[in-house]
Amino acid sequence: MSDVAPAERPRTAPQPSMGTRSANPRIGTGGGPAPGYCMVSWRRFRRDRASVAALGGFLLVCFVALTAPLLTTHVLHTDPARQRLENRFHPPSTRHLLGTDEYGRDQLTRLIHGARVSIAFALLVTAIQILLGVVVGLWAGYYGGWVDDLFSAVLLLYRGLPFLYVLIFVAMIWRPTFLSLAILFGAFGWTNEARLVRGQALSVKGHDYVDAARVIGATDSRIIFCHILPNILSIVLVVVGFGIATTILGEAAISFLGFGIQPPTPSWGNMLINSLDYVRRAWWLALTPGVAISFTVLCVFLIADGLRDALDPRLGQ
Amino acid sequence: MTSYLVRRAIQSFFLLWLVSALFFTFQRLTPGGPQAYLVDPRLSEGDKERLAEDWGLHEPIHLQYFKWVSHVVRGDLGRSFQDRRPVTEKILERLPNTLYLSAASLFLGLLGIPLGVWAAVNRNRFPDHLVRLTTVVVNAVPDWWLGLMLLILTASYLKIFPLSGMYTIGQDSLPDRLWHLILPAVVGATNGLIAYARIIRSEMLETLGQDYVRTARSKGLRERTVLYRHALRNSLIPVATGIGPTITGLVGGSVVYERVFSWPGIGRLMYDAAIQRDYPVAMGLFFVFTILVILGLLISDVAYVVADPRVRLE
Repeated sequence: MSDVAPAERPRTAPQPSMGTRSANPRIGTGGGPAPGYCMVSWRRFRRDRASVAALGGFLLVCFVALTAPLLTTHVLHTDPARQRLENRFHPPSTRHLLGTDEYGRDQLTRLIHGARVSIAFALLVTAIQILLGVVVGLWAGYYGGWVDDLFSAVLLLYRGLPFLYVLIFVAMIWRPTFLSLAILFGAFGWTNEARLVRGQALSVKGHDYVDAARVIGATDSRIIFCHILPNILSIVLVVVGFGIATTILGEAAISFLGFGIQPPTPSWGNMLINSLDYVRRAWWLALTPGVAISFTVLCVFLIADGLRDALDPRLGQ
Repeated sequence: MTSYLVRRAIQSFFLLWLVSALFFTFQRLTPGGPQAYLVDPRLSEGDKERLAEDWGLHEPIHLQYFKWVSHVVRGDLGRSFQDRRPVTEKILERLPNTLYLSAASLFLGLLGIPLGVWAAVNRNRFPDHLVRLTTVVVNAVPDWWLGLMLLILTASYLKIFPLSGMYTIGQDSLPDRLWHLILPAVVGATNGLIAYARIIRSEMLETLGQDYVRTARSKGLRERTVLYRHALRNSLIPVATGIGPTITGLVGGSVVYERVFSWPGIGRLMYDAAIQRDYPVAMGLFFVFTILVILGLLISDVAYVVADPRVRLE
């Protein structure tokens, strides 16, 4: 079934001007193999300098998060859990670049370790959301029927629930852990993805090539995974971006209230738990986690925007 | 329209029922039950038993729920574990404060409309770039953290605004209340402001290219009239739909805003109830919040129809 190879995606509208190369991968460029869909998209993405800078910023945050223990032990020579009570509320200085907190812990070290928690959390939650959202969305969009009806009912239910209050309510009963919180976030956040996937699946289902595949005897699962899924993948990717950003913001809010990731594990949100008590004396403690959150979320938003334009130029219009 | 409203009411009723049943069961069936947290260690086992008996915690769960619902119907949400006061009373004394703050934020957020018009009229010039850049950046900033920063800057260091509360204790007057309202309202308004500015900008750009706008201009109407009477009115329709999510966001976010600004509303009450594990209060608040969210969604759907006569609700 090579009639709809990824390089010949029918949804990618050919662009008239792409410098010296043609945007249509089928035409090729004379010598060498034609650039694939990914290559063409990457070239388009690369032209948007803001997106590229955002990608760099996000990769930097991810790098810091990945190498957090190495960075803090060998470069900063600090430990996120080490308390030195004689060093409480030390303002930013050359010794403590971002100052120290109420227990005399180094703020920069905790910020770096917080990146690990916040980023890992966002990625895990988004993975859960995508898995649920794509499966339910594809099913509801392709088969319709009772799954679709049930899906609409669930959407209605979720629309009426104040999510933050659900989280607080659950936290009253069980002490939240990283995993339980991630599952809750995933269980409540997948509807956006599912709604989008459902709508896209519904529209792609009507295309000729789906009928053609069915005529030559392709099974439902083959049609769904080989024909429909590749065609809506670009939209899923964009939604992944927005999912990550929203999760970082949501985790920060619930952890700030004290019902999210529990101290002493630092996350960007729970580093702000006590900041209200220090507004008069330690502004740096409130400033830095918020800047980290805003920077990361901004990067992710810009990447998602750039991806949307690059993967499917028609979407941006 | 009437049949639509009736259907929505029935739908909302079922939604409320489902949510309350779900969370009631969830709350009562936890290991140890709600009484596990409320008694201090000095109480004997016998006292605990009698307390649980007194609150009807030994009955089968469906009977407990039925009892709860039959009380809720009569406006009785139970009594607080903490101070034994009726939950309804506790909520009702705080609810106006939250509605007052939310309404202020909602109206302040509508300032995004002129901002969007300004950007659209000056397309690809400085005001447009400024508005677009600001919306992108502010969108990534958690609004409650922005509030925290404003609080530190303007209240703690510059001392322009008060640090917390709704009014200065002992000096309750209208100017004083407004002065306390400004920061929380601005912070609550940011989300709506950005959303409206964005929507209005792109809608205006589309409307300004329409034939009837050209007709209005060639009739010699003043640019102001063309912009506000002809173009803007047609661009406002998506804003009507945006109001629902804004209300939902304000109600849902009230717990964070009220924590940051020590605002004595129901969000703050929820926070305190959660810290003290005051289940009846939390359950009652959850019920009220769900009602508020459902109402917000209903308002936005109705506003959509009122704003756009082309839309019919089946």
